[in-house]
Amino acid sequence: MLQRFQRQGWAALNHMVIPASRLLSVAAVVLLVGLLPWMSGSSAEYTILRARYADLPATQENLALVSAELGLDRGPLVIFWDWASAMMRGDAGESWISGRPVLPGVTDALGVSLTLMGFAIIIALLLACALCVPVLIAGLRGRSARGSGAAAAAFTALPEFLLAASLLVIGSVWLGWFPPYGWQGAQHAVLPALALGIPGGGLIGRLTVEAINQTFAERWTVTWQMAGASHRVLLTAVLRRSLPAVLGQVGLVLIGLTGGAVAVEQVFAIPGLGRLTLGAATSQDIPALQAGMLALVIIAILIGSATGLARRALLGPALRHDAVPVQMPQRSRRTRDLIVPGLAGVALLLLTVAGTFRDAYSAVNGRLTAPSLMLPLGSDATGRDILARVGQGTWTTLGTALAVVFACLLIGLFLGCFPRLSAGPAEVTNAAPPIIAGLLVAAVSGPSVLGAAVAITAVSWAPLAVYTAGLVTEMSSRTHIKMLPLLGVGRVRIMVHHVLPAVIGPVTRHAMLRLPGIALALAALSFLGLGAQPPAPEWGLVLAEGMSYVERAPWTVVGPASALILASVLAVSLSSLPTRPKKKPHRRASATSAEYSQPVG
Amino acid sequence: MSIPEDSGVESPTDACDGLLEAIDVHRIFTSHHGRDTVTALDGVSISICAGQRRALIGSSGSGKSTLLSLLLAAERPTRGTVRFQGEVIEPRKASRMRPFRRAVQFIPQDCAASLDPRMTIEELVTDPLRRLGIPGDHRHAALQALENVHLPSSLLGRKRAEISGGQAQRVAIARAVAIGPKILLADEPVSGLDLPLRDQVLSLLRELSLEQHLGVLLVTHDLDAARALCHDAVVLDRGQVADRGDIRDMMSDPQHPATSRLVHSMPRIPSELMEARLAHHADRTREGKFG
Ligand SMILES: Nc1ncnc2c1ncn2[C@@H]1O[C@H](COP(=O)(O)OP(=O)(O)OP(=O)(O)O)[C@@H](O)[C@H]1O
Ligand SMILES: [Mg+2]
Repeated sequence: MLQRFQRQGWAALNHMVIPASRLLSVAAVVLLVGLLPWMSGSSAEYTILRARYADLPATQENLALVSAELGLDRGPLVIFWDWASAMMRGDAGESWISGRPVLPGVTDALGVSLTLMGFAIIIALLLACALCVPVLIAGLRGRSARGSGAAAAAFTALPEFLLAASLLVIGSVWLGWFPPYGWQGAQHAVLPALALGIPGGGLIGRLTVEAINQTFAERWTVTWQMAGASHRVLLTAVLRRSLPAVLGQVGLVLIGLTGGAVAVEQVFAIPGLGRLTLGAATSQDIPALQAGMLALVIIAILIGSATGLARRALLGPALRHDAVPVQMPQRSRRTRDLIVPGLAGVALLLLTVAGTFRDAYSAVNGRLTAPSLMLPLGSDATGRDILARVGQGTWTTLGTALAVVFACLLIGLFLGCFPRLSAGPAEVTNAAPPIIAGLLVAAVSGPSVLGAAVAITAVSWAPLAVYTAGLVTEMSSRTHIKMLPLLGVGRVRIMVHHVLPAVIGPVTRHAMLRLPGIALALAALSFLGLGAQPPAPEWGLVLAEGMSYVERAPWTVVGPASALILASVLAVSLSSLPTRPKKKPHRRASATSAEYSQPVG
Repeated sequence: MSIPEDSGVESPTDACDGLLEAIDVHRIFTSHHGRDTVTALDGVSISICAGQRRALIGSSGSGKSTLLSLLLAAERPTRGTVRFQGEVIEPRKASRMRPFRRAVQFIPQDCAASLDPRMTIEELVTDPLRRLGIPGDHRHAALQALENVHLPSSLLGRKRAEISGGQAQRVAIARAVAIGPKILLADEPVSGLDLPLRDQVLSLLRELSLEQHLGVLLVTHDLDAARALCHDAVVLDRGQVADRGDIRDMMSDPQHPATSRLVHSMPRIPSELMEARLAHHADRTREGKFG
């Protein structure tokens, strides 16, 4: 009896692993934020010395002076403890730059950001509904809709920073309908809310459309229709079946708004939390960064919990019994699915080839020269060839992205072998928007390509680990693997020699599909000044350099923006690409990739 | 040759070489939340010696596979012990299990699926020999094992997809036999095979048992197969031993309801006919007509 009790105790303990790892991961984030002053160390001392005492030379004594003044010499534990206990009392400390208390500024900015996010969520939900309604109507009529058109997909595929830049150029500069900068009235909120809401709404819409189509493809809907179920009954049932599968993603998208807000607020110069945090990170004003970051984390946790509750309410008791419907099954890949990514890839390739052999660094042309035959994309503010910069930007951006993908692949493969232990970190890092991660890393080490790459890696490995875990579980349940222990093969050897070799192929393919998305994330960081530094030809950086001249010389923006748009189209079309190739007539049992593939979000 | 037992709990016989026994084992599966439990085995005792051929029969879900996984030390019994030559056997690190794995081997139900599709037949047969630290020329041992199961050596370079189902079945047997075990546990090695192939595998097992003094515990719900190969049988019913004894007696005059259910639920081939067929197949396999 005792033995049996112990066994059940173990089972219960096993069940605690995932929540515990979740809790630990959130605690780790808080710890990270609390330790920021300590981690930024010498890099911050140097920055603050320059910011406060511009006349003092950066000698050892002067740096030590700054260190003592900032309290950086207290050691990590004391620093964290002091910060945490002050936070409990509602004291967020004083700015290292201005010396004024941080909290009032943060609360003001929080209000602005929450308003902006509220508008953005409304737009996102409206857009998602608009994408779903035709599909629902077609489904009720018994036809399968083709979903939204490719153009709509491409438009909603743009990342926030790119959409914000495009909307600013179109809506304020060319059309002059809306003010380009500031936060004074409703008209100031229109473009930012659109820029923040459309990408999320588009993604939610695409996922929901996919889920609804899958549901309508299930036999019971036909049975219900035959049995004369009213449209309303059928509609409710279809939605109840489709939405839970999507809600987890919706939560992630909404949490992603916190990262998007940084970019959008920066582009439109909105005094919100994102811009405040970005400013604090680039100037290494750590107390302001800590407060801003904490506010963002709290928003993210609230959003996550809210969607979790919504999911629970929708699913009801099914969730408790682990009877959650499985991931949407994937349709098989058709040649048609390859047209859009193929075209985008070819266009990007042409741009790259055209730019690679030109001079991207010398200011040999006139400043802001309009495009001509010699300079197909014009020149920038210092007279550099934009085509050359964009073309070579492909190498810089995609090269870094490739390194990130490779790092993610290694981490994913490794952690995928310990699915339950890595569940919490996977969840938390997966939810963390890349821009927020970039902010943290830049605050610690100063902005650099390496820092950006580390940040993106830190938040991008999770899907690969989840995918690996799925494949590993599936492989491990195969008869020939289960047989191995009986033949004297040890656990490590089974993993390394038998399971991983079978898993590595599909996981690598999955990772490569993420390349364009990761390139975009890197470009976003560079655009915000958190990644590549001038004069490197990097897409995001080139776009950022052009933004100030957009009125006089729109081509400074058009060149890099088109490269980024092509990459976005590539990213979205690849991510919605079914990983399963068209069914072969003779399906071999060893085809592993298909069953566990999920849309790359 | 056979050691009939009819007592409830078996006592280890000193004369018995390579005794593998489960003593009053229970196996209770607990669901994820510890709410529901399934009692797959409820106090089962069974033993098998080298040279002995014993059948473990029972209807689907009676706990046969579960008992095998306990005997193989793939899992730990919830209660009770498994012993091999008097020592308690428990799942441990692979390196510490080696002596046991060398002595007790297994033929899984789905033989073809138990072969790694990426490995050649030679690798499949020799890799366990390396892992288990068996001395000698492994390639030679592999050839010998293939010969034992009447497979041509030309198969060595092929992979699973390139051999037939019946050949895969015999490769799995060769892999187990190459290790040179004292006891072979076979989980339904003949279910799902067509009749000639079934007879072929059974006669092969009998041959091996006789030639190499191998103990065979045959798990099956097919009484004909059990009778063709084994002397005596243990009948499992809902996790308990319902009946044990001479298999011929059991079939001609079933004592226990579970046994008679099994006996009456299957089409029967008269035993003389079965014997004749087996003899015929033994001859033909020896002549190499099934390669
Ligand atoms: N991992 C498990 N979790 C829960 N219950 C299990 C598990 N494995 C087996 N069982 C249950 O234990 C019982 C015995 O299963 P077992 O596989 O031993 O049957 P069997 O006699 O081999 O049947 P078959 O002839 O169909 O192979 C069944 O009721 C089964 O549902
Ligand atoms: Mg079984």
